[in-house]
Amino acid sequence: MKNLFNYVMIIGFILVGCNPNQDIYDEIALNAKPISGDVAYTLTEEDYTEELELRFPNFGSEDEAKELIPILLEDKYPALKDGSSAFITYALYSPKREERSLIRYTVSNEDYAALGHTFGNFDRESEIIEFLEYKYPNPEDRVLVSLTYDFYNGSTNTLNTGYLFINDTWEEMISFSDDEYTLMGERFPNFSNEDEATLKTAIILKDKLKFDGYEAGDIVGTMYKLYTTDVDDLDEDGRTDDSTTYSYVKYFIYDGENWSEYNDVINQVLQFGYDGEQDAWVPDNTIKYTLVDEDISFISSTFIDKYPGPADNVGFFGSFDRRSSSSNYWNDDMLLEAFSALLNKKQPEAEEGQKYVLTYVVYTGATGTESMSLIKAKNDSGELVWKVNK
Amino acid sequence: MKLGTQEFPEILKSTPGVYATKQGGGYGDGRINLRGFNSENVAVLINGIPVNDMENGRVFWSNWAGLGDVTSQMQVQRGLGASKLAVPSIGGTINIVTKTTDAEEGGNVATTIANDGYLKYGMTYSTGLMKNGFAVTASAASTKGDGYVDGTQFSGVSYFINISKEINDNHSLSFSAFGAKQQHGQRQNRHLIETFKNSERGRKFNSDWGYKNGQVTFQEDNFYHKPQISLNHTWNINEKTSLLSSAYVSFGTGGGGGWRGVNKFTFNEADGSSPYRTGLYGPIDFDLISAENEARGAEGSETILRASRNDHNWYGLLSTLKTDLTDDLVLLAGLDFRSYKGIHFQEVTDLLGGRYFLDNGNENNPNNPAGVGDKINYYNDGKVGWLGLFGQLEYDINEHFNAFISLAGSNTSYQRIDYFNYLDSDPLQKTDRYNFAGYSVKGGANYRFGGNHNVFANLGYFERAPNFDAVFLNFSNDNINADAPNQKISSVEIGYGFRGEKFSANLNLYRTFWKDRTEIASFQQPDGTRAAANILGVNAIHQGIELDFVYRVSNKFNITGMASLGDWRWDKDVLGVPIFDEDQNLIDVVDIYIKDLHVADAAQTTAALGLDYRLAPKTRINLDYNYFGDIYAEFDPSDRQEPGPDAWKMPNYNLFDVALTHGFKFGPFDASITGRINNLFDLEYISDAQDGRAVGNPGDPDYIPGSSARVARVYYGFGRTFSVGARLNF
Repeated sequence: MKNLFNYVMIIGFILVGCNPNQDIYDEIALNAKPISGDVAYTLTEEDYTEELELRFPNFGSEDEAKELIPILLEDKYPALKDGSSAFITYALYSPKREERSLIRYTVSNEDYAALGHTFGNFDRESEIIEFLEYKYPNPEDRVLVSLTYDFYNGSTNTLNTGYLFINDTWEEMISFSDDEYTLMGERFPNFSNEDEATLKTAIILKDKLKFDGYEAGDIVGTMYKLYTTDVDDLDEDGRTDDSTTYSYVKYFIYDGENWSEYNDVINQVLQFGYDGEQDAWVPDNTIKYTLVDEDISFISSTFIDKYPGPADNVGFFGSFDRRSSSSNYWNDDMLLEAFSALLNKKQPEAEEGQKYVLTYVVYTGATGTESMSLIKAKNDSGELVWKVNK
Repeated sequence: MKLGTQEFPEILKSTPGVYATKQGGGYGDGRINLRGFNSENVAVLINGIPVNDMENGRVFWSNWAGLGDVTSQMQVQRGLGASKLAVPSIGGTINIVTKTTDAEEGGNVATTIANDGYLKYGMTYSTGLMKNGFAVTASAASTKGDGYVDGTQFSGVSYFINISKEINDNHSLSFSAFGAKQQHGQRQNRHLIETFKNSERGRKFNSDWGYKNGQVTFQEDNFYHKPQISLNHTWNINEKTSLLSSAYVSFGTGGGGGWRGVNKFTFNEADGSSPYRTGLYGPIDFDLISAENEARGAEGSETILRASRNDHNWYGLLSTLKTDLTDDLVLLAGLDFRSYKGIHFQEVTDLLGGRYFLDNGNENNPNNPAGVGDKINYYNDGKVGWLGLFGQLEYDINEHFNAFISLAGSNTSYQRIDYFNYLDSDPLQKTDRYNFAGYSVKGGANYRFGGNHNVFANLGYFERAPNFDAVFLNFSNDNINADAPNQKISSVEIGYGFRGEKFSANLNLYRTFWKDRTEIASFQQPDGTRAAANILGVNAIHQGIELDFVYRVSNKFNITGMASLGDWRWDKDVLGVPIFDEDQNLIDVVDIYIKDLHVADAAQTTAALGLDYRLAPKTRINLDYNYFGDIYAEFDPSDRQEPGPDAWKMPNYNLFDVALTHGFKFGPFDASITGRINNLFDLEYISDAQDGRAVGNPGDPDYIPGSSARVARVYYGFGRTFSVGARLNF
C-alpha cells in the first residue's frame, strides 16, 4: 500500500507538475503592456549639480534641458516605458543685466529748446527716448540714466525715471516718486539699504502694477535709490567722502500674486514622452485627454445625421459601441472622424506635430475604455488634418 | 465522507458525463452539467419530487446549501431509461434521497473545521420506532466561514425533520420538512486571466465586495430559504398493488444582491485602478460611495444596493400506482400535478448613505422615492401550472430478458402578471393562460447472459414545452410568443454490463439529438409594437462512450474508475432565415454559423480513478483522481451571426483529493474523525470560462483574436483546501 501511495504521488506530481495554464501565462507575459504613467517633477539642486554634474543649479538653454533631462528621467523612472509622460519643471538661466554706471541728469530748458519743445517739458514718452538718443549718442553699455524732467499731462509735473541702455536700446525702469517713497515710510525719497529696497519694492509693485495685466512669469526692471557715500563724486563737488543719492536697477518677477526679486533664473516646464522605438525619453508635446460628457454630446449631435444609430447610441450611453456585430458599431475610421471634429473644436489652431492621446469609454459586451493616439499632420494634398499616430 | 466542504453537485464529479464546478466559489454556487447539458436539461429530484425551477428549468443549488447534511444517497440516471416520472430531461435525472427515520433510537453530534474559517456543527437525534407507531428524526446544523475566494463570507443553518407513523400493515404516513437558510457573498463577475495574474490575490481575487464602516459588504450576494415540506402516504392496496403519494409544498424566499443606479463598481482592466476602490484591484470603497450619496442631500442616492428577489410558492401532488398485472407484467401509472407562482421584484436593501432612491419602474407610482424594503424597477408574478400523466409497462419476457415501454404526457400553462409595467386599470396587466403540451415515448430492453453479462438498449423521443421567458419575451405582457415551439429530443443508448465477483463494469454508448433549441428573433413591427419569430433548426448532437468499473482487489482494497468520452457539437448552420412582420415585409435575415462547433461549458472528456484502502477495521484512506479535458468556453450559439472558430478550449486539468477516516471509541461512544484534502497538489486551474470577442482589428499590433485565452473571462477553481470533521454517535 505504501508503495502504491508513493506511485500515486509520483504520477500526481507528473500530472500536475506542469501548470495547465503555463502557456497562457507565457502568452500574457509576452504581450504584457509596459508600465506607463504620467509623472510631474521639479528638478532639485542636487539633480543639476550632482546627478548632471553641472556647475550651477539651472540649465543655460532650453536645448540643454531637452538634452540632459532625458538622462535624469532614465535614472529617476527606470520602470516607466512606452506611453509614459513626464512633466518636468526646470530652472533656466536667463539673466537680467543691471547698471554698470550711473548718470544723474536733469533736463534743462536748453535741452527742451534744442529738441524743438516750445514749452519746457515733454508730453510724450517717445520724446524722452528721443532726448536720450540726442543727449547720449554713444552711451556705454548698461549705463543707467536717472533722468529728472518735466512732463505735461494736463499739468506740468517734475518726474524722475530711470533708463537703462542695454542691448542697444533704452529700457525704462519702473521708478518711484517722492510720494511713493513717503508711502513706503521713507523720510527722504530713497531707501536706507538694498535689503529694504528689495522688501518694500516688492510690496509697492503689487499695488502699483495691479491694473497693468501682468501674468505669472513676467519680469519688470525697477530703479531704486539709496543715500550713500558719493565715491564717484556724482554731485560734482569734488569730494568723494560726502553722501549723495545713488540709483540702482533691480528686477522683480511676478508669480501671479506677488512680486519678488528676480534671481536670473526662471522656471520652465517641458513635457517628455517615452519613445518605445528609441527606448528613450524624448521631448514630447502629447496632450492626454479623457472625453467628458460635453465631448460625447458634441460628437453625438455632430454625427446624428451621418451615423444616426451609433451617434444616438453614444449620446445615450456615453460609450462607443465597439462590437463589430452591432448596428451601433463605431469602427476605427468613424472614431477618427469623430475625434478630428472634436479636436478641431477644442484646439483649432493646433500646430503640425501636435499629438493627442484621447481616452474614451467603450462597450464591448462589458464597459471599458480605449485610447487613440492622434497627430496633426499634412495629408496628401498638403492640408493639416488629424491622423492616427501609429 | 466524499463531500467534505465541497459544493453539493461536486460529489458526483467522478460519475461519467458529469462536469461539476463551484463557479464563482460562493457557498451554494455550484453547478452540474450532465452529458454536456446544463441544469435546464437535467432533472433534479429530491425524494422523487421535482425541484427544477418551474419557469426556466434551472437548478439553484444555493436553495439548499446544506442539503448534503441530510442526504443519504444520490442517484444519477444518465440519459433516458426507466423512471417513475413524467419529467422531460435531456441530460439525465439526479435524484437526491434524504435521510429517513432511523429504526433505532440514537443520534450524533458532529463538527467540521476547514480552511478559511469554515466551521460547522450539528446534531441529529432519532427516537426510533416508538410503541405508538411513531418515529421521529430531527437534525440541525450551522455552517459559517469566510470562503476560499475573497468576499464570499457565508452562514447557513440547515434543518431536517421526519415524522413517520405506521398506521397499519397497509398504510404508513411520513411527514418530512427540510430546508437551509443561507446567505453568502458571491463572486459574480468573471475576469480576464490577466486580471487574476495582476491581482496580488491571484485566483482568490473577487471584484464584487468591499468595506463599509470597516465591515465586509457585498456588491453581489445571495440569500435564500426554501423549506420543502411533504407528506408521503404509502398504501399497500393488496399484494399486487400499491400506491405511493406525496403531497408537498415549498416556499422559496430570497434572491441575489447587486447594485442599481450609477455604476461605481467597475475598474480599469489595464491596471486595476478605480476611484471607488482601495488600492489597485482592491475592495470597493463603499464609504466613498456613501459620502457621495450623502452629499447629494435632497436629491437622494445615486448608487444603491438592491436585491433581485425570486420568491415562489409551489404546491404539488405526486402519485404513483404500481400493480403486477401478471407475474411477468408490471404497470406503473403516475400523476404529477404542480401549481407554482413565482414572485419577482427588486427591492432596495441599502441606500448607501443617501436619503432615498428615485425609482421610475412602477407605472402606477412614478417618481417613487424608494426606501429600504421598497420594491423598485420591476415587480411581476409568473404563474405556472403543470399536469403530467405517466404510464409504464415492464415485461419480463423470460428469466434473462425484460423490456419496458413508457408513455408520458404533460401540459404546462403560463400566465404573467406585471404590477409595474402596466397600470392597474390596464387589462394587459394580467395575461391569459397559455398552454403548451409535451410528451415522451420511451422503450428499452435488457438481456442477461452467461451469468455475468448483460446488454441493454433504450430508445426515446420527447417534446418539451418552451420555458416561461420564451413565451413572455423581453419580460413584457405585450410581446407574447404564444406559438413558441417545443424542443424535440430523440435519444438512443446501448450498453453492456459485466458483474463479476471482484470486478464489475458498465460500458454505454449514447447519441442524443436535440432539435429546435429555443431560438427567438424579436423585432419591431411597423406600428411600433414588438413581435417575435421562432427560428427552428438550432440543433445539437451529443454522443459519447462511458465506461465505469469497480474492482474489489481484496477485502481491504477497492478500486473504482471511469472514463467518459463525449463528442458534443452543434449540428448545422442555420442560414438565411427570413423574418417577416405582419405585413409580410422582410425585416431581417438571420444567420447562425454553428456547424460542428463544440458544445461548451462542460468537459467532453473526463476520467476518474478512486483508491479505497482499509488500513484497519475502522480506518480507511481514500484517494481520488479526476481528469477534465476538452472544455470549451461558454458561448451563446445565437450570438454566432458571423462564421467563427470554436470557442476557446480551456486547459485540461488533473485533480487529486485524499481523505482519511478513522473510527474509535470515545468513552462509551463510537467516534470517527475524517480528514480531507481537496486539490492535494494545489493545482492552479480554470474551471469555468466565458468566450470573448476579438480586441482591435487583424493587423493591429495590439490585436487579440476572439475565442482566445486572453479575451476569455474565467473563474479559477480552488487551490488546496482541507477539512477535518469529527462525529460522536450515541
